[in-house]
Amino acid sequence: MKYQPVIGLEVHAELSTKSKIYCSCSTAFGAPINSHTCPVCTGMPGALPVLNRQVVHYAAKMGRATGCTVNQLCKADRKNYFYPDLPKAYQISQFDVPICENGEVFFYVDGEKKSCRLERIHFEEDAGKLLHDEIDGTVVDFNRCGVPLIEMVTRPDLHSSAEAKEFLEMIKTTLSYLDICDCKMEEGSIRCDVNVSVRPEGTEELGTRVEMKNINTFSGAVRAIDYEVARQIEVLENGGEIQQETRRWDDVKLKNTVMRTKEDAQDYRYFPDPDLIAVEISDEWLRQIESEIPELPLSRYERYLNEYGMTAMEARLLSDSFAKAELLDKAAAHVKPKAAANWILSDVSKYLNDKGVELPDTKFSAEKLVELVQLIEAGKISGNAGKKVLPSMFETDETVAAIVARMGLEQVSDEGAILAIVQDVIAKNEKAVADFKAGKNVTGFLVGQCMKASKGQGNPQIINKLIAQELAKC
Amino acid sequence: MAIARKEIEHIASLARLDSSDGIFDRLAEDMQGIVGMVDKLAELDLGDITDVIDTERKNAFHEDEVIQRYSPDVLIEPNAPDFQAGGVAVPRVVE
Repeated sequence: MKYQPVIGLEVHAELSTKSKIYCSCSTAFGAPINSHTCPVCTGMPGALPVLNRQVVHYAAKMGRATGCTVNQLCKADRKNYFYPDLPKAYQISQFDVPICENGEVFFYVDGEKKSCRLERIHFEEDAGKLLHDEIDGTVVDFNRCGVPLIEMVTRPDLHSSAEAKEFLEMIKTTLSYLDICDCKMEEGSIRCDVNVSVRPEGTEELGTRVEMKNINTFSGAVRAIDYEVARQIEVLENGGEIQQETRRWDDVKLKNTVMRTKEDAQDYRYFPDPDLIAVEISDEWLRQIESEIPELPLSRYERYLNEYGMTAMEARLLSDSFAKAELLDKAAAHVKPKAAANWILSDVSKYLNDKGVELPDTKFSAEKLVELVQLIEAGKISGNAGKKVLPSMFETDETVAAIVARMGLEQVSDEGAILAIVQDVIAKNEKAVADFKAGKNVTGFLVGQCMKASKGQGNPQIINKLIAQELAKC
Repeated sequence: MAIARKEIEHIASLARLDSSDGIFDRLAEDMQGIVGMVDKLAELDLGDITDVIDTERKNAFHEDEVIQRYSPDVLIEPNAPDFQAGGVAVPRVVE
């Protein structure tokens, strides 16, 4: 029998606020153990939480960018469970009235447009970290307690690990476009839990689902899903039944193991947090949030394909990075998009990769890129000279013309000056002239000699033209 | 809502408390009293109010600025039953 996988995701993203969600402690990653703590985030009796305004702003922004309705009146609830990384023994989350609901995320899988509905987005606090290597036991680091998260819960709309991966990539790209999450996977800025079930192909009824935890990378999600789908099919094919349970993915051993079964399922006993009051997002605030959302990655991707005539690969590489996409769109207002895109995808990307820097941290700008492309198109510098001036465009405030002048890379397009060089080269190369008369093609050789004589600055098109003109006279 | 010893045992297990303790029957009685008091709220005539959110007070926020006033030796060390390697030490946690 053929089976169809049914996958739903719960994606957690750490918001890039400076301070924590319910106190003013720093959210900076990698600080000494417990140095970013206070009575609120360590759950001291009597300490009272106060919500970070920016968290509401960022969560609503993600909601509007994914087509969600924003509940302009919402509240915080306590999710009770007992674990050493949770000092209050409850997590402040949202239960029945999340900040955002009913969205939809669109993405492409192998050239085909797909979508996955979002059931909800809510904000909540992160838990602390358990360190197992410090002592003969476990030490709790509370620095991460209270770092703001948004949890995005999908409907079970995904049907393969490839779809799940593209959905996750689109969530990540969207978060980075909105500048609300640093998206550092290695620091756990985005984490996800995966719900997997399978059903006979062509049927509607959902199979029993298994939740998988401890998935830290998107490629890990792919491996975890593929493993679990295969495991469930094997159980069913052998006449077994899928148990509703939570399994823990091990990305080293490439297998999962039971964490808890339905019998010891958590009972979170949610109730409204009496320490916190309602959140109301005014129409004006919501309009402000919406006005900050730039053109999103999918729209740019489709525009690059359809309007700029790019390949799917080029459009993807450019639309995946907000900084590169902005650079392209600003430059494309003045020069051919393809010319700007070629520079961004080749030498600009190479420079950023080699130096390990981000575009906004450099002095590169769309204006400079436009100037570079225009200088080349006007024949003022060669493409090769363009590559030579590029590093300075990242590192100095000079105009491209100034860099070209400083480095002496101006292309000589003055026909009088080039003619003198061409005539001199022809005079010095009698053999080439003789070969030419004997019917041989010597243009390439003579162009090379002229380029050498002009120290690489002669405009090759003009040299070509003048060589043909002068040879004809011989 | 009736609170029996069964409910107390369930809550105790969620909180990882030892349920062999003899005070559970007394706790059930105490909690029944508390829940009974809360149940009295249900007797109120609320008219057509169905809101789940109290809107009388709303929007208390802190701005997104870092204020770091405490150090672990002041905040955590004196409050931890077992303080090691800069943090609260607990029995080894293996999931």
